Amino acid sequence: MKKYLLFFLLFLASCLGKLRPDPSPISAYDAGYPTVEFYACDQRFNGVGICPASPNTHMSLLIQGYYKGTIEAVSDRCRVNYKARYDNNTPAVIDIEVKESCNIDIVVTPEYPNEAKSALEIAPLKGRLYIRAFTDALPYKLQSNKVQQGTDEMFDLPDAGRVVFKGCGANFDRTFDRKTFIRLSELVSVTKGDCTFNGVFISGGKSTRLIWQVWIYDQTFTQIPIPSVNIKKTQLVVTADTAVSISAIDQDYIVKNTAKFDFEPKVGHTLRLLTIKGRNLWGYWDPKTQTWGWVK
Amino acid sequence: MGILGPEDTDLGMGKVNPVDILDSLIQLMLSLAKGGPVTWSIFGVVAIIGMIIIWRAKAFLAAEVQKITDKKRNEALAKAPVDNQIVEKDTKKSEDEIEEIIKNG
Repeated sequence: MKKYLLFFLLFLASCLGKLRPDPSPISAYDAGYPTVEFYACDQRFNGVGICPASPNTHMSLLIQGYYKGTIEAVSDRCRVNYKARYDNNTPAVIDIEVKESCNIDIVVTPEYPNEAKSALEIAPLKGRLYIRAFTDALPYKLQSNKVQQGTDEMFDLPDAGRVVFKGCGANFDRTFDRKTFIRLSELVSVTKGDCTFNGVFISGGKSTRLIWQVWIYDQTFTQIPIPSVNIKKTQLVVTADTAVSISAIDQDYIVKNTAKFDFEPKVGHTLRLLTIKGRNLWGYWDPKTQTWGWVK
Repeated sequence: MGILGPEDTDLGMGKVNPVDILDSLIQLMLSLAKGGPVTWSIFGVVAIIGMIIIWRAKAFLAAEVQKITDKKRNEALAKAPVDNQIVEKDTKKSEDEIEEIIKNG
């Protein structure tokens, strides 16, 4: 009898389509965990990033799309008001004229095939780029962290000296007689949300700017595990977590958690995985070391 | 153990084995097979109505979930500029305060 039941369940599973339900109790968006992939100032960021810049210069911001949907980027101070549809995993490229420091908020809302028939709730993705414009050549230290609710994070100080941090309600001003670090919990008692701190470190009459961008995300949120990846001659065989709906390598993608892609091991590649609740994972293929590096 | 076992399912009537339910359904089918064409016609009509109800219910559920998804997307897009204004204001304030400290040494 169990055989009939198995056939029945397989039939039901085949009716569900390729989009996979994500068992996460909370979406990345609702958890306050930014997952938009973007590139700026020669760096690739996963959800949050800081770029140093000089006033009156141009900066290019590239925002990665998943499947098809809408990309929005806004910033009052940098006069960015971008909203456009994309298709085929195409990134959006925005030219920013940096007049002063600004925060660019990004929202990506993917729309999946047969989404209207899937009865699965799809979540948007969010991200933020902080462009810090410096009018002088003072040294600086930048740090971005995603911090799980209930845990703490540290910011290492360059040396012994006076430290001031402002922003997000923080009013931190202390002098240390040795090289140490500052805990996030010493700055704010925020339990969830995002904070951008501006600070300065003064030692021996010299100042160093400190910038700390923090996103405190819901403690029930978990990241997707690293997939099984096998290279078979010129093919890459990916078996990701069952919650994954989109598997993509470079600009090639499939709406499935298992995939085979054409693969050239002598050049670099990016493997991207995404669930319908916005949980993501990237892998970089390093052709020199012939290994994968993973970013969550 | 199979996919579902007695320990997996509690339908509010104590522990019920889904395999037994399937067994009963098959027994019902076999008894129908012994009936005449009229019995089969009734069964066929009931089955078709049942399938239509399930099909419509599934479509309704999918449409409702799609509405939630669309609402969340629109909210996220509408929220971004509001969030941005708050963050920009707070960050500008902290930048100015720090620049003042740097200027004053």
